[in-house]
Amino acid sequence: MRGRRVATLVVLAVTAIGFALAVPHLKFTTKITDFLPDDTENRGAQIAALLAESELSKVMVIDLTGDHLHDRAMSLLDDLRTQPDVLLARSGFTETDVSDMLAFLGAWPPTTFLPASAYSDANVRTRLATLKDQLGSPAGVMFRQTAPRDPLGGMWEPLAALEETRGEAIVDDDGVLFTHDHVHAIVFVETVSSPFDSDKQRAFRGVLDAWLKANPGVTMQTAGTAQYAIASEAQIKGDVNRIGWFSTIGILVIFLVLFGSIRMIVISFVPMLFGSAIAVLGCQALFGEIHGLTIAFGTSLLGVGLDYVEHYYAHFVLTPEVPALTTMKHVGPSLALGAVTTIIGFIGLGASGLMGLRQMAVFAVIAIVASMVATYWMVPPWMPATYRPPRTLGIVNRWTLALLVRVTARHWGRASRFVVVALVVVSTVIGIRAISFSDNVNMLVNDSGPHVVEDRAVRSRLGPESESFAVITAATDDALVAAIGTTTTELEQARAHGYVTSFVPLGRIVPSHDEQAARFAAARAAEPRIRAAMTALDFVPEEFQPYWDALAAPPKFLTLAELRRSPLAPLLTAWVPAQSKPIALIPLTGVTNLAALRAQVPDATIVVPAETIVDLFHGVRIRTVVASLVGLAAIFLLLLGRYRSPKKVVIALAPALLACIATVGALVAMGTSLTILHVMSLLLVVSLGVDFGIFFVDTTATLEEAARTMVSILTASITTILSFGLLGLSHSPGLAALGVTVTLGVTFSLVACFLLASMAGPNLVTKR
Amino acid sequence: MKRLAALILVMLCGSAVADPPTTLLSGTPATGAAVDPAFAHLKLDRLRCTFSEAKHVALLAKPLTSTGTIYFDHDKGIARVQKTPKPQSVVVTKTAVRIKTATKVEEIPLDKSKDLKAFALVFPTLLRGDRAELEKSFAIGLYGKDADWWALSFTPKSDSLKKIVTSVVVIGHKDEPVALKIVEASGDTTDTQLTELTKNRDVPDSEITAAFGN
Repeated sequence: MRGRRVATLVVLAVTAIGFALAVPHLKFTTKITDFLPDDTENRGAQIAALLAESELSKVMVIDLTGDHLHDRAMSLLDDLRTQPDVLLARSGFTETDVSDMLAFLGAWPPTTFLPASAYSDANVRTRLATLKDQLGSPAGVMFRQTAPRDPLGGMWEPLAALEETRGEAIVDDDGVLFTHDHVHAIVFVETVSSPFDSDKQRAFRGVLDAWLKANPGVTMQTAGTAQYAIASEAQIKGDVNRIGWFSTIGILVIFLVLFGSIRMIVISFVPMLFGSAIAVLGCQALFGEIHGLTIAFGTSLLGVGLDYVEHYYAHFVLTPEVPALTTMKHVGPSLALGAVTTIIGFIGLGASGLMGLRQMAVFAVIAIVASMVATYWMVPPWMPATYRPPRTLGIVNRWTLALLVRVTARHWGRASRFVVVALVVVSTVIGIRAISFSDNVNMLVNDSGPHVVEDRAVRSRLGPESESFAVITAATDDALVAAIGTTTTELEQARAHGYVTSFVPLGRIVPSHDEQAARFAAARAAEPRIRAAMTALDFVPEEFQPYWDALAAPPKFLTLAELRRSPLAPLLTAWVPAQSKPIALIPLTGVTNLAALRAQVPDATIVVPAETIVDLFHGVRIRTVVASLVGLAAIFLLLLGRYRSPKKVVIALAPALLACIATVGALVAMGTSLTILHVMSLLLVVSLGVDFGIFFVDTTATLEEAARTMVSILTASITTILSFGLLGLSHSPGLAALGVTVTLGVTFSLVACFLLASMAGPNLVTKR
Repeated sequence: MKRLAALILVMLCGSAVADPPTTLLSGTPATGAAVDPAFAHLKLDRLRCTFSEAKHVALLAKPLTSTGTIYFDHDKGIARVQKTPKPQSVVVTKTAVRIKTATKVEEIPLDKSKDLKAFALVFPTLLRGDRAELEKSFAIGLYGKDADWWALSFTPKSDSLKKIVTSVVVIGHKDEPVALKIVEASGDTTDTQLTELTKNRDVPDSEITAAFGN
């Protein structure tokens, strides 16, 4: 005994030191992408992840209102550009920006941006006539400067294409973007740090707040992923604190009332804390970071981790004459079996295909194994040798015994049992028929949070948002640019058919190498005809020597890499983000016929992100249900191997199954549409319910022992409800669904145990 | 006989207004506050006149000629409604040049080039009589006398503006501008004759509204 105590202390000390050393290196995250399916075989999943990680999600929109907005916006831009964490800060285009852009476009052959079709006789004449009009207009001086080198106006093509993408809602006034009424100035900023890095984003918020403080009279609103990350983290921290404190206090009170021993209370927390510490270290080692929701979920597992100790304590306290180690040997197999079935349940959670839930499953499995080992090995040596149980537990035990005596006094007839079974079957059928599923899951977003309201308000001022994208992926940048050209042509045809109202004509800004070569060749071949057309339209061809020189020079080809380094980069970065895997996102607006559009544009994947996410989660839900059924079958086989009696297996599984049916019924009655999170929570209910069933089957040799088991199930239920019930109050829809479902499930499991005892009647203690 | 005398008188007067003295732009121009009397004639709320323009562009074998009507409004800017060779409307505001043809509307923002803005706004700023604003970009000289023939010359101050325009000259007779001559840095020139001037309240709101399109 003394040796085990010393060994326990050594293990705990080593764990504590290891944890203390690891704390500074722990990395926490609130990445929403962890909750996107990471099915590498699924193109939709890949695209959803790419969209979530793309520039579109990295840019923060800052909306300013107040006096002297132009100057204030320029001041904010200047301030932001001095910040080390700011990668890009922009609003409209300044004179310098435009000058740089024109210089860049003018550095490439004048054929670069002009389609080969521009060199037909008719098109050449039309373009030259346009030049003549331009030269005659009051703005002629502007075109006069570029005309000798670019008489057909090729360098204006990308600018015209960009102009088409600019909505009506925003105007550019001397380098600052404004809403049309000039009430809101708009600034875009991208940080070096990930928008999901809430520490860095909070620091960046500090920068914005400091600027705001130095500029009284200005108000600021923002839109972007970062504010979701900060709000999510704050919410999760709040939930963790609330759950942690309230459940700890609640558990302490219950333990004090029931077991009446400070020493036992302290000991009871050892497995839980040990399990949590090992799980945190394990997740950090396996995943390199820990998600905030895993921590919140782990906190709620405190109640589950206590179940083993409670079951042991109940038997120890109510039979104080039996040595602590002997009691553990008696209940240990049940605890181990319960732990294994729970682990099987969590393996199902890990099979969901979501990185975030996989991490939760790994955390839970490690925590359960560690706390189980600690319960079995560390707790008994420290139990008090002499112990006088408090009256309270005795009273609860007596009430429970009296209740058991009462409910098991009557033998249920076949008809009664049949009625109960029929009721369960009918309830199940009605429940299944009434279930409505929703795969529109928004796990981390509290839809009514102020950050969401602000985000939507700011985005609404930017004009209509693109709800769909033509997504192009390729192995190399060159292949990507070629595919962009093909897709742009296909989209133009789709627009002509009326399937889409508008799109970003990326192909006109980023021509492929082959296309540029074809354009150059077409221009060279057309030179005599261009000269003839010029003469016919009263131009002096000799005045265009720079153009003829450019056609005579070896061709020079623009690449995507050069565009990404160019003054056009701030505009292109959202559509052709510089990611490890080449990808182009062409925003589409006014899609009228999605199916026809997809058929018309085979070279790109037309993605409606909201629908894609729903489709993905639908797949995940189906997979999780299948994994749960497989898990249930595995639990059934495990129990069959343990009990070698189908009847006992059914009894062990009954609380879990009845609880699931009742929980689903309750959720349906409440008008809740079941999501993937409810399905996963039911998996947890099965695991916990099976634990209860195993305790029920294993430790009911006498009515007194059955009462002790029921007391342990009761206390376990209360502590679990304390944890998950509080989780149900979370503002995070995901955590709240988990909390409500598990709370209902555990409650129904407890009721189911009493129902089973009642149905067993006098046979309860002779069923072995 | 009286009719003939009157006709000759009108012809003589007409000839005097249409042709400024050839020596008008010679000598040293007056500068600073000395140009104010000429500016005083030009300080208008509204103006309507017909124009006849010849633009000599080196890229073209023949000059580009055009005719039409120019409208000025103190608050709205200048609208140049061209009738020949093809209908076209150009509105120059403080922030943009909007070119409207039968088939399309094109807007060129002036905030993206301070030089282009200074050049485009010479005439409307002159008609507002805002010497201080013009002097930010141009050296201003007055030739002749405001009571007779006069010419205001505008020479760019900055090197960047000099790359666009060499000089702008507005020629006037008494209280009316009658011609505009622009010499671009490329050597291209634009000669604009202004006739049939109507000023201020004599220009009806309806015409201003129609010309500016709002």
